Amino acid sequence: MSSILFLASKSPQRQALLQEIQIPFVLLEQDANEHACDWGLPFMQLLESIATYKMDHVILPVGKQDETIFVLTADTMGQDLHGTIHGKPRNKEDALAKIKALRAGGSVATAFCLDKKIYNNGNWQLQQRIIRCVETFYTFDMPDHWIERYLNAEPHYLHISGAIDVTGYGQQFLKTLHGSYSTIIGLPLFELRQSLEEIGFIIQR
Amino acid sequence: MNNILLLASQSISRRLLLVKAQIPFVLLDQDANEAECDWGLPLPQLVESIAKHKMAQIIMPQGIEGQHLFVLTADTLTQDKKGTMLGKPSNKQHAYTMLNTIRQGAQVGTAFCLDKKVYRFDRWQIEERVIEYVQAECVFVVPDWAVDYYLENSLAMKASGAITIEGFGAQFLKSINGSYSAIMGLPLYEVRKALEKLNFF
Repeated sequence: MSSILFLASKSPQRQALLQEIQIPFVLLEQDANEHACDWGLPFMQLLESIATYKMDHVILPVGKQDETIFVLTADTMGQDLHGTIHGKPRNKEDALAKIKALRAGGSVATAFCLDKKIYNNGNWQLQQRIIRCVETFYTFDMPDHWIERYLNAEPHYLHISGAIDVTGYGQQFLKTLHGSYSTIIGLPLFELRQSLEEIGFIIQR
Repeated sequence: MNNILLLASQSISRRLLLVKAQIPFVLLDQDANEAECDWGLPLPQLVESIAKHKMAQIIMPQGIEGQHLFVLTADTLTQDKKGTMLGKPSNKQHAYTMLNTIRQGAQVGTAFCLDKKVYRFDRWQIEERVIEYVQAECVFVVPDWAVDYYLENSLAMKASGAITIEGFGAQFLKSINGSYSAIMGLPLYEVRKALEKLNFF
């Protein structure tokens, strides 16, 4: 029987990535307040701590004795060449500023936390945990006269880290990338599949 | 924007890339025999020569005096670490061999030829041409247990080097160094720039 992955993420991009590689998943809620994390940490550690913090705040379903589940949380952020972290833009002006700041190059990193949990005596207990963080460098070079067209073509830009969407219309501005492509979108698929195999997640086809 | 791009390519991924970028296009036929090109050339020159050869073999529609058209051809090839050129796999066994050799890494190169043509004196003449080569190195690792399923559930048998990085194959793409869309068959960043240079938009 195939295992089921519980994904605690609202990101439609992450859901689309899992669908793309045919990993069955069920959505879960999490109520983590990311501001409670230590934002003074180095970039990759910060992301790992947020992914772990989200895991601690996942609202799990009631289980059956000895039931095993797999739960996934993740966090993605970008930074420019000066090390300034860019999350989701607050408004259109902020989106414009982010696109310009990231034009010279930037990086996006995604950390994920993958837990194997077992239900024992009325509680979910952690059996195994894998945390990984992957960083990708890229050049997303959009000339000024294209920005307005891009924002019109990508109406959900306010929900994307750095306002940069490389999957649709924006792909024509992605000049180069160095590292993992799916990390930019929100989940490093290669490392995730490796981790799922390592932790005993079974997919039957 | 009233200009139309004529795309002379059978590749589904090239069409999808143009659709994503919202660049309107119409498909054209070309009957180039790639085997006529000089396969002894290095990867960049070889794919450039194939893209040009394809352009030369296009069956152009009838024009109107003074009419302008933009025509695009492209070619993509993969080269393994030993320098062996990998086209589309000829059969399953060939695909197994390719996937095995590219585990160490591969270089994917796409060249495109973009012509701005004008119809004058009853024939199409080249007004301006852009030829560009763009490449990317990639590490694409399909584990043994997944190879058969991957070949049956992707367009790998129609892809250079049996590499498909979208859809099911996305999980086997470990890393890229270079242009993502060049691996898919059309370097969108450079194509858009070339179209701008020729005043397409």
